[in-house]
Amino acid sequence: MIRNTFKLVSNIAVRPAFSSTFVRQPIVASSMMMRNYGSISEKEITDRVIDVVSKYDKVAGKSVQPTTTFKELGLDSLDSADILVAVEEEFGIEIPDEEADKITSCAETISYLRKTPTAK
Amino acid sequence: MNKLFGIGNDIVKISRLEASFKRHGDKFLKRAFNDVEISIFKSLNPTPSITEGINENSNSDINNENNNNNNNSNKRGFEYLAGRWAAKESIYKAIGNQDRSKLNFQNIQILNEPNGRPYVNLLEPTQTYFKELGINKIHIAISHDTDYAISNVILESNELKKN
Repeated sequence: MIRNTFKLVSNIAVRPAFSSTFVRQPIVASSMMMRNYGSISEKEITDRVIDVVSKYDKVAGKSVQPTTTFKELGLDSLDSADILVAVEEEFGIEIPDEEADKITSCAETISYLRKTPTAK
Repeated sequence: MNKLFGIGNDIVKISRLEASFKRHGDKFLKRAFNDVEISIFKSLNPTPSITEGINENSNSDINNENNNNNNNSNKRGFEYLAGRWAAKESIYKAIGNQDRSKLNFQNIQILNEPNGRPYVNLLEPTQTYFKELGINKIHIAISHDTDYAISNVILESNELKKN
């Protein structure tokens, strides 16, 4: 009896809810995740990060790619702090210290911005 | 009985701190320095354009280290910042280049005794992190000459703790 009641409830309450989330939402969610992070596309984030890094005095004339590390560019911790403040200004955000201390490359900067919906 | 945990040193060109500050102002300061250090720096920089909105702080730590640049108090402020930056980097190196995010430079206050001798005052959670590492004593020296600031650090730990 109890088992039958449970079955009935599952058929009514759980199944429709499950099928609607499982079938419809992933299409919308995946297209958003692939294309946009907040209001900025992944490509735009990448281009603007590379632009900020490229404009830094010490980087002049060096090739900057999305995968380039700050160390490869000859930058030290003071340069990194300076660049991350420039990134904050560029995207209108504030990177928490514990996060900023983990960022040592363009890729990590881009990755942080991708998961920051307030980036403009 | 303590044992040596690590040593670290760092040198930095004073003009780099000035350039970063001129580019980003307080945002840059807050990235690496705590409120006490920022107040002292600003009290050493009377230029209106960079002391705007300053909360004047009559901290007794202001008169520290040798200052032969009475005609250029702006420079004194950047010497001060550069010395602090070098000290914090020295501590980071003395710990052994561990996870920088656990260190948080803002939580490492470099202050001065009345005679000018620098000392380190750790704020939480960095203080707890140092305790976890077993570090119980920090020796620090800061110096600067014309264009550069330099710092040396020695860390001591409890003998029983592992590094």
